[in-house]
Amino acid sequence: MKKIYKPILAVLVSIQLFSCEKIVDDLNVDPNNPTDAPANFVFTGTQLANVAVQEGQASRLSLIWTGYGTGVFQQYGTWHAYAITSSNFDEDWNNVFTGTNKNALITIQKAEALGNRKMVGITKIVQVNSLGTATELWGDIPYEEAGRNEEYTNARFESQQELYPKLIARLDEAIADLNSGIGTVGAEDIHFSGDATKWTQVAYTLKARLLMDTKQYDAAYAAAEQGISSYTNSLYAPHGTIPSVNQNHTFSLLTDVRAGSITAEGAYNAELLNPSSSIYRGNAKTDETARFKYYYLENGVNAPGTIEPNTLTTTAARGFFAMDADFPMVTYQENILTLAETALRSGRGLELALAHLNMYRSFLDKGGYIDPTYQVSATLNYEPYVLEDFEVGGIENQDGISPENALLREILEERYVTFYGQHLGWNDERRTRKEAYGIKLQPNNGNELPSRFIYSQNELNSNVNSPNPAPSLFDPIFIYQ
Amino acid sequence: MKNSLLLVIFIWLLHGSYAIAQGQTVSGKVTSQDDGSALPGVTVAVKGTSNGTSTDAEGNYSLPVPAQGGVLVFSFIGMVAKEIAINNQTRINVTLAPDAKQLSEVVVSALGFKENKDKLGSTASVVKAEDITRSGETGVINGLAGRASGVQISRSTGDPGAGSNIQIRGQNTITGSNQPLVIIDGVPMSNNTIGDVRGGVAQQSRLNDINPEDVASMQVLKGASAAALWGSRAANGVIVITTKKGADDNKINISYSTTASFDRVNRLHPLQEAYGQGTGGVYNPTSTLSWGDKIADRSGAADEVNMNGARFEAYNGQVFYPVIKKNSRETYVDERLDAVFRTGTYFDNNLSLSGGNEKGNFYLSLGDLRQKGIFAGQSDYNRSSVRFNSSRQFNEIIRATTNANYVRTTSNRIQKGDNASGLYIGLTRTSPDFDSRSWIGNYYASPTASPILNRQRTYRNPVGASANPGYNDPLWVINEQTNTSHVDRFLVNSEIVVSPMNWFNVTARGGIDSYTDRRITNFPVADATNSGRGQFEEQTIKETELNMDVIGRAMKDFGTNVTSTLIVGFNINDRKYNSQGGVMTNFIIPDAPANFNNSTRENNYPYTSTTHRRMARLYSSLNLGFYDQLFVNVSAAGESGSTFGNESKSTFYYPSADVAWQFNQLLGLSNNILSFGKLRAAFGIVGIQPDAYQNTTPYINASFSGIYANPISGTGYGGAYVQSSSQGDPDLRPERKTEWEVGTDLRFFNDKLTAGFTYYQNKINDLLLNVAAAGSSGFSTTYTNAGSMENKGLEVDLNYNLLKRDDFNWNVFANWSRNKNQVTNLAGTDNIVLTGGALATVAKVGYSLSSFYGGTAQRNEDGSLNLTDTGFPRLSNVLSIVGDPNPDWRGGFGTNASYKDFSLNVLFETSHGGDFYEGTRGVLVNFGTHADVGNEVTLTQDMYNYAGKLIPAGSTVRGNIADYGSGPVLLDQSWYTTLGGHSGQLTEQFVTDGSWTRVRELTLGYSLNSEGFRKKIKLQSIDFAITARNPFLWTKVVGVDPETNVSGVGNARGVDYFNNPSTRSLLFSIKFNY
Repeated sequence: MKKIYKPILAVLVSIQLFSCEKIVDDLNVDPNNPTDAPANFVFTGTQLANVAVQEGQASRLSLIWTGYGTGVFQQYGTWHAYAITSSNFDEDWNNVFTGTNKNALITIQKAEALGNRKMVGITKIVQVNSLGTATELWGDIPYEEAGRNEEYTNARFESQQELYPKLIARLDEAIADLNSGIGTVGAEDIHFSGDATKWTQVAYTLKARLLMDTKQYDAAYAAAEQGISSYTNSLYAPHGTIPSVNQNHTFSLLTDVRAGSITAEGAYNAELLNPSSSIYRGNAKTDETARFKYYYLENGVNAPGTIEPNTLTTTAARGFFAMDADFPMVTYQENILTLAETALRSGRGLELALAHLNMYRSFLDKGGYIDPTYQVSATLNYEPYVLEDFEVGGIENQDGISPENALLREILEERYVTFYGQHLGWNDERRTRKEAYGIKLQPNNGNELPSRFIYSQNELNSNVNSPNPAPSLFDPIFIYQ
Repeated sequence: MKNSLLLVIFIWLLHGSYAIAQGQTVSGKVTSQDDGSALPGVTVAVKGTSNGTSTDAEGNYSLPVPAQGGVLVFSFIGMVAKEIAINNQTRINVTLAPDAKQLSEVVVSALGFKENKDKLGSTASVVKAEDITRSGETGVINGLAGRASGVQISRSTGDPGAGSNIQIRGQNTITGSNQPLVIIDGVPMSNNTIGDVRGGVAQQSRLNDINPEDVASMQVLKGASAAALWGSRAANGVIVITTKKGADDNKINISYSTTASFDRVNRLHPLQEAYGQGTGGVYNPTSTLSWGDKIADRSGAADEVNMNGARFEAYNGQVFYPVIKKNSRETYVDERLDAVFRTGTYFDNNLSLSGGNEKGNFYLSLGDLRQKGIFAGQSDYNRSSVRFNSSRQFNEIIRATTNANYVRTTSNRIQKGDNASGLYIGLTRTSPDFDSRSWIGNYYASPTASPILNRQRTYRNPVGASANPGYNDPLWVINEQTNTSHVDRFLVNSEIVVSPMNWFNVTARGGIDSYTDRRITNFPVADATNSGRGQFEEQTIKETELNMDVIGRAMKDFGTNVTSTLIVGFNINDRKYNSQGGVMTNFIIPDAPANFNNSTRENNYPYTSTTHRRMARLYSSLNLGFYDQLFVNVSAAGESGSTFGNESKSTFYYPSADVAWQFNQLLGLSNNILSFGKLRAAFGIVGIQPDAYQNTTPYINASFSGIYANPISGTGYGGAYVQSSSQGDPDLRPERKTEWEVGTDLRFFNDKLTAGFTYYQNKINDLLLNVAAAGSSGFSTTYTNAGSMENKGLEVDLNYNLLKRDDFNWNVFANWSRNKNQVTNLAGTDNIVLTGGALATVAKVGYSLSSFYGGTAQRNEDGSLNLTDTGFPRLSNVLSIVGDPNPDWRGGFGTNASYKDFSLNVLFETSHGGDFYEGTRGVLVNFGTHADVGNEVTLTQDMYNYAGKLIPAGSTVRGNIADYGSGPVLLDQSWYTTLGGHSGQLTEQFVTDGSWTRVRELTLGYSLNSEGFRKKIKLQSIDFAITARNPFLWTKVVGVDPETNVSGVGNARGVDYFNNPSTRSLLFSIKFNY
């Protein structure tokens, strides 16, 4: 039997197996997605990832952990009480590393191949913006080995001592790239359409931010001097009205995905700005009504009847978190207030610090960054302060501290109320937590304030170099120790 | 001749009218009553003599009989023996009916050939057609439940037509589908359940398109060796369905059956009615929570309302104003449930005509099912099918068969699950003191304002002031949304068998399975989806599967003691999938017809997706039989597949072997106790194909969102692309499962007791995984071959014929199985998330697949809880395994009894030791609507609440008392709305024992078939049956059937999160046979 079958089988097998492979050849080419994309599209994608980083947990946990808002419901209710787990950070960690950082590296490589230094420079700024936010929130993070998994399967975490100089150097590279004048960037830049001057100023303000983190106030002042020089040069995330396409992230969260989850009941910032509150920060020279109403809606719509972050989006009222409200990322406001604080801290004198603060107040007095609808519908007043206001007994020094401290206190408070909805407010709070002056918050729960984000569960699970044991929410990060 | 009346029914004398009565020879043909196929090996004997023979391969026999005639006895294993008086006939053709009291011993192989089960070394469970139709399930999948060991059918919801998870011998793959390959009449058919996710609607399984009435037999090939010829599509097991054929009985058989079913909701979550809407013990008509005032403390007068502001005029005539002071004590929990649920019904009508002769046969059936779901709104499922099966024997050499089936399925379903637009979220979260029955109407912003039409009124939006209701009202969900599906499907297969020599034949078989599924999802303006601005989606899915086999089969005997069969075959299988559709948001005219014309250009989002997969296989199997007691089967398949990586070789081999030894023959063990004994062993390798196009890392539209926010997308920013965070792999190989099994089939006491035992072990290597990557690598997942997993299990099947008398038959049966799954390696990643959420289900090394992964309380080194100063648990920052939804063992048991014309069938099913996550309860205690938080306690000592407030002894407060280890504490709103609820992420507190036992089916039947009746009515019989489906359920899980699952048919199991409920039914059926 075998004599008959075997040769036939052998012939059949050899013929057929050869044809089997031919039959299935060349069918595994993806008809749905490209396997490569030109530099300019990846460039825009990188910018969008950075927007998601700045407007994600960075913004929202800062809202509820820095007294800007109150998590009352579902996840935000629990997170408000500091009960949070590492998997709650996967998405944002990935937005930094698989979103911004990796695609920044790809963009830079592609742009370099095209000799487009301008695109390279802008991309580096976007990259540092994300990574800077990440290290401010998580502490040590991978940098040199991140996004290069062909060479490094487990990216090394870098300490902040090691990382900060590298990020600052990266910004300097970016400034040099932009100064070279080589290359073209147009509408693919969703922020500035390739305006090199604006980007250079953003790079300096970012540099000042990093120097503030490490308390190098003198260098920070110098950087901020070349930072964003006008409101229109601020880096904002542009938004529109199309759901799941270009709406303000927090708007979609507050009105749709987790409607009513975050209110402002008892929120410190709301109390500071509310003219009817006992700790209202307004005075004879200051009327915060417009800013208060722009930030908060007293009779909420998402959490009906309670005060909540303002998501109104009508022609007569556009709140801070309106559907199409642009989100502040690196701003003129930050830069000028950095000048004010660092002028004071670097010993450049009260007059100079006050001059910067008054410059900011005059900006606010003309409406500032407050939406025009609220400049019309509510009152505002920011008259310049004089040194006497900070002397003992002055309107900003009723408790008799030194004029320098009184001015510092006012600058820090102004920074706090200005940085509503941004992680910068939480940065400042942590940076000044052990200092005598600054925003002093009561814990939402227990007797400790949170000090950091905890690492992504995926990172802990899959990177052998991730910190072990993983630090807890209450372990301070190096720069804010 | 006691049974002569019965026997006459089955005798048709076709050729014997001219026979003469002399010492003579009788010849004829024996066929199966089921499908008219020839029955080889049937014993034919003259009763009371040793004179006998058996039928040949074509079912023919010839036997010399005495001149005085006598009685011929036809007997065949698995068939009811038949006795026929010879009288003067020379030709007696006989059809034999399957023996309902014994599992049929003929099994159909993965290639569609009939084989004798006693000669097989691999295991197959046969499920009889009548068991499936009698079960009262509208689809063939659920009819399988509880009937075969090692086969687990879990329905995710009671929605009409919804798919169910089928699992054979545990889970075989982590990120791919665990659903088996379905072969119908020798050709694969799609059993996909596309788009079944946590939210949305429960999608249908395409397997349920098959009309159960058309099924002649269904069997599950559980082991790798039985399925190995299907190579990389067979790792999840193979279900072989054979459809009905006409009988070779030269007459037309007409059968008409009608079934009416009445369905009720099975379990509902208990809800509290003691406390009103609000928070902190204070009534608030717009609060999301029901932690308000005690309803009994209200005055009972009419509510005080503000008639000078806004108002809502419901279309049912009621007018609502903002409540200033809540006085009414009325609650509406029961009213709401009564308005949402109804008695669901279905009417199933089937007409079939069949007939044939030796030259050919046909089977024509028309089926029509009209189902209305248990939701008192737009919930329905209709299935109409036509099947025409025909077969023609042209001459001795050529036989051709064609089976054609057209199915139309239409349905409208209800949004479910993790979904703010779904039914259960609104139904269970709505406050007890809110009346849902005025869900739609006109909103007036002020007494003089013009109305805004079609506003939704919900408990958070009591006068419809906002276009965005937050959550939908349950009555809005079932009345205002549209979720339709319209399927047109053709299944056609043809086969030609050429038998040039009596020892050799060639089968050429081709099949096509093609369907389109047009789905429409419409959320009108004022729906929670898209914050009340309207959203419409239309999608058309088209799947086409072409399959072609050429199979040569040679049979040769070497002497009398060695038999052999050699099969060599070649297969090409080609599958195309195409999905096209679009989403439109922000309607221009709120109530315009739902289509893409009703929005501005930037609010239209078209999408398209295509896959094309092909595989080619060459396969061969050799079957050897020795001394009619030892049977050896060896086979191998070589396969090329288009989805393998471009860098890997593209041909893979799947060997298998099995051996069966009927040891009782050799050892002379056949005696009164042991009537049959077989030992068997099998080994095989099967696989899972990689998904299409995973060999490269694509660039995709940049779309990023933070947690709980909607994304921003490149489409709104001039176009933006990023490299996908999911990395491809050019070296992809099929996942391979290597399995061995040993077992025995035994029959005792003259076949009265049958028993089967099987132990198996399999190891799955090269698992295709979306390996979770550290974000810092630049990827969040990598799709690659990594890791391994194993299953070990034991299966037992028992059947005992307690009584077998002329008019009284009674048997009991049971099956039992356990499967232990363990993930053994994940290539360095700690775990892989199958479904996310506060409670994730994951694959983690050392644990069973689908283990629960979530937040736990911080513990001290001695294992006690690390409590707060006030005695409450603290949440650990890192997640841990908190449960395992896989049952320790499962079983089915039941009985079939018949007395005269009455019959009784009972089927129990049980599942033990699997964990269950009570997500719905976890959320409802947070919202304050669950009955668990409707209690009032009087404190016997001072106690802290979670907020740290000390409540003095003697206080009577709302809440419960618990002790976490440092004395009693008060669980009140401050606990349940934070750590004590689902969103508090302390998930371990909602993991519970999900064991259950249920009566799947209870049927009482009566058959009217007396001779007098038949003569009068000219019908063969009328059969009546009453079936109770799912009448009893015993489980510790409260409020929901623990078989439910939020992820539908996905690999995650045992999670309840606002799933739509399951049902129980009472069915009445009548069948007329002509």
